Amino acid sequence: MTQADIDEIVAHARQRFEEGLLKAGFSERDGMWHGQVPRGSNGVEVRLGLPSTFPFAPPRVYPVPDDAAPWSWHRERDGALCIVAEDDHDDLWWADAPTILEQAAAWFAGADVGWANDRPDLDLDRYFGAASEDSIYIYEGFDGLRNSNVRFEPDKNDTMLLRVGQAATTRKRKPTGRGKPEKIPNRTRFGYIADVGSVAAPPRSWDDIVALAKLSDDTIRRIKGGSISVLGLIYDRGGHEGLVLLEVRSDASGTISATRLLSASNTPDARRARSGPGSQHLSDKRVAIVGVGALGSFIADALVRSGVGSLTLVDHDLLLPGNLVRHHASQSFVGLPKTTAVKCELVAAGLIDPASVRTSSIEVRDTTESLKLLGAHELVINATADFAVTAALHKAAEAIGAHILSVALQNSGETIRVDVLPPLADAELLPNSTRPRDPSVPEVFEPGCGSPISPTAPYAVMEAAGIAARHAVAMLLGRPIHPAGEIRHIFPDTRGEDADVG
Amino acid sequence: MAYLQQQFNDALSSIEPSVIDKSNAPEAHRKVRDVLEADATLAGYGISPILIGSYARHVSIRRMKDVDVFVRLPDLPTDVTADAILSHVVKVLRAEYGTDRVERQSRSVKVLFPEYDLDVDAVPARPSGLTDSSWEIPQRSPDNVWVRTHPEKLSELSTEMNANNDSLYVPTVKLLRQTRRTILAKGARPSGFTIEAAVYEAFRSGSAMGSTQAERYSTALASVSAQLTNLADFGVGIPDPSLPGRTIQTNATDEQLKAASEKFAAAAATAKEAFAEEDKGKSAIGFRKLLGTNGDGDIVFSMPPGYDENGQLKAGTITAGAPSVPAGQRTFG
Repeated sequence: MTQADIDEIVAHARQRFEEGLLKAGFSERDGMWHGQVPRGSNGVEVRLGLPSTFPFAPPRVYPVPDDAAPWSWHRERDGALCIVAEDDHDDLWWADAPTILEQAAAWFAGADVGWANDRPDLDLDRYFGAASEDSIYIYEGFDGLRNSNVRFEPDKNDTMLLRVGQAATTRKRKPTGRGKPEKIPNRTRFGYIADVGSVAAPPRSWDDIVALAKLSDDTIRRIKGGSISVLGLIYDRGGHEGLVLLEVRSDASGTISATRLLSASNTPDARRARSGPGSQHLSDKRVAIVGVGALGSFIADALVRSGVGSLTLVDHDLLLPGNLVRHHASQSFVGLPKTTAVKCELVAAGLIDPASVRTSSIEVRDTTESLKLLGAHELVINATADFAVTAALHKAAEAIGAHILSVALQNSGETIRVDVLPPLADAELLPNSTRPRDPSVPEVFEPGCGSPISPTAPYAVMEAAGIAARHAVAMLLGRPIHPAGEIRHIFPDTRGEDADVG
Repeated sequence: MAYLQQQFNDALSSIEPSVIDKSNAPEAHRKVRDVLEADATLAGYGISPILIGSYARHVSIRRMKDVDVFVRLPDLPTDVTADAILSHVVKVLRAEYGTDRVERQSRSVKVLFPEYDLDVDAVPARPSGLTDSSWEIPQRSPDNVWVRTHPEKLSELSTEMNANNDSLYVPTVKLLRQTRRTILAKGARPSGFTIEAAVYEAFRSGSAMGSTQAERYSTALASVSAQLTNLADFGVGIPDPSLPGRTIQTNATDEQLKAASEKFAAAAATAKEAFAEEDKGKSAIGFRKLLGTNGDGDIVFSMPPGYDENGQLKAGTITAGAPSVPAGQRTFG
C-alpha cells in the first residue's frame, strides 16, 4: 500500500462523514460544518470541525454561540463538547456522522438534566494550557497539604519533589546546628495548595480560580511578587479527590496566568491501582521462590509488581555474565548470589522494601528445610526445573496438606508447564508433556557447566513467568485457575501433535 | 442521497475557463473596442462598448469560444437602419483586421482572433427609448428589424440571483452549460444562453432547490428539461429574465428542439437517480456521464476517494466498527 492509497482511504472516510453531515442538513463555511442537533423538542445550533487526523481522531463539536451550553466538566478547554471520552476509542465509532450527531444530542440532554450519574474523571488538568517547563512534579498524597504552603525541590531526571516544612514560607537560609546555613537548591519553587472541595465546573479564568480557591489577598500578593509560583488545587469530583498543580505567573501589568504542570502521585494507592485485580489482598502474603534463575527471577518481579508484600528467594548460584540474557538482573550485579542480585533489582526499581525480601541458600531437598519453608509462606513456588527438588517439595507439601506451584519450561523452551503439587481437590496430575529431543538443534556446552545450556529463548522465559504469576496470584487469592495447573505448548510440535492442557 | 460536494467542487474547477482564456478574453475585447472607438462615425454616435455575455456574467466554461462586446450607440440616429449599422461596423473592423477575420452575423459582427483561439462578437445597439433602459440590436433583414435586449440588466439579475441562492446559481448555470455541451452534438442548438435562461427560470420559480450543489444541479436540470419539452412540444417560450413578459428567441429548428428536449429529459432522469443513490460510486458514475469532459479533454466529474473508475468501493476503507483492530475492545498496552 502506498502513501497515496492511505490518503485515499482517509479521504474516503472524511467524505463519507461529510456526506452524512450534508444529509443531516449541515452546510460548510469557513472550514467548519454548521447545522442543528435535537435538544428537547427543539434544535440547537452547533458547529463541527474535522481534525486533519480524522478518522483516527474524533470530530470536535461546539455549541453556537459558545455560551449556548453550560460550561462544565463536559466541555473541553476550547469549548468543544466532551462527546468522546479519552478512553472511548473503540471501533472508531465517531467515523459515522449520524452517530456523532446523536452523541451531541445526548450531550445536550445530559447537560439539561445536570449530568446525573456522572463518571468521576479526575482530569481538571486538561482545562488548563500546558506550562512551558517539562519537569514532572511528584507528590506523596495530599491529605496533609490542604490550604498549606509547600515547596518543590529538584531531583534527578528533571523531577520536582513536593516537600512541606518551614522552608516553604521563605527563601531565607536558616542556620543549621553548626552555624552553616541550610542550602536551598536554586531551582526550588514555592507553592500553595488550596482545597477547593467539589467543583461544579472547571475554572476558565484567573478570577474563577481565585473564587474557587478562596485565595487570600496575601497569597495573591505573593503570587504577583513571584514568591509563590505553583498553585495546587485539591478538588473533589463524585467523592474522589484529585490534585492539579498550576504554574502561576504575573506579567508586568499584574495579570496572572495559570498553566498546568505535569504532576503525578507517588503513593501506594497509585501503584496498587495498576497492580491488577485483588492486589490489595496480596500485601500481607508471603511467597517463597525456590530457584531464582531465569524463570524464578521474572516470577519474583511479576509477583512484587502484582502486590505480593513479602518474598523469600532461595538459591545458591552466583550470577554469571551469560545469565544476564535471560535473568531479571543487571550487569552491575554479576558475581553476586542470584538471590541478592534479584533482590537488589526489585528494590532499585522501587517495587518493594528491602526488609520485605529475604534471601536464602537452604537445601530444599532436606525435608526439614522444605517443611519449614512451607510453614512460613502462603505459597512456595518451585522454579528450579530440578526433578529431585520438585519431588522433595511435592512430598513435603503432601505431608502437611499444603500445595506448591512448580513451574518449568520444557522441550527446549517449546513448552511451559505449571503444576499444582499435589493437585487441589484430589484432581489428577497433568499428563507428561515431554517431546522427543529435536536432533537438528545442537547442544551447547560452556566451561564450568556440568550440563548443556538450555536453548530456551528469553521471551519464552518471560511468557512462562507471566503464566506462573497468574496461577500464583490466583492461588493466593483463593481462586485457583485450575486444580492441577496448566501445560502450554508455545511452539508447534513438528514431530507430532499435542494439545494445551489446563 | 449522494451530495458528492468535493466532486462537484472539482467539477466546477475543471470547467472553469483557463487562466489563458481569462487573460485573452479581455485583451481581445479591448482591441476590438479600441478599433471601434477610434472610428469617427461611431464616436459621433456616442460609442460606449461594454463586455457582455457569459464571460461578463461569469458563467462561461472551458474552453471559452467567444466574447461579446455590446457596442452601445446612445446617439445613433433613428434613420440609421439595422443593416446600415451592421455594415458600418463590418467596414471598420475589416479595415483593421482584414476581410478574412471579420464575419457578418445575423445580429453581430464576428472578429476572429486565431492567436487567442477566440472570437469577439461585436453587437451594435441603440437605445430602445423605453423607460427600462433597454436596448435594441439590429437583426439582419431587408426590413430594418431591431430586436429588444437588455444585457446589462441580465448581468445584474444574474449577480442578484447568485447572491440570493447561497452562491449556487452561477455554478449551476456552468454545470448545466457543461451538460449541454456533453449531451448535444457539437454546434447543435439551442445555445448555451437558452439553457442559462432556463436555469434562471428554474431558480426564479423555486424549481431549483436544495442547499447543496448536487441537489441544485439535479433539480435545475429537471426544470430545464421540462421547459425545453414545453418549448419543443407546445411552443411555450423560455422567459427572458431581463425583459419581463418576453421570451428568449432561439434560432434552433423544431427538430433540434425536439432532439434537445429528449436528451435533456434523459439527463434529468439520470441526475435524479444519481442524487437519490446511496451508493456514492454509482452516483458519481451517473453525474460523470452528464458532465463529460472539459475543453481540454479531461473528465470533469472525479470519482470520490475509495471508489474505482467503475464506481466500485475499493477494499480497505475505514468505517466505524470495521475490524481494522481485530482484537476488539477493552485492550491495554
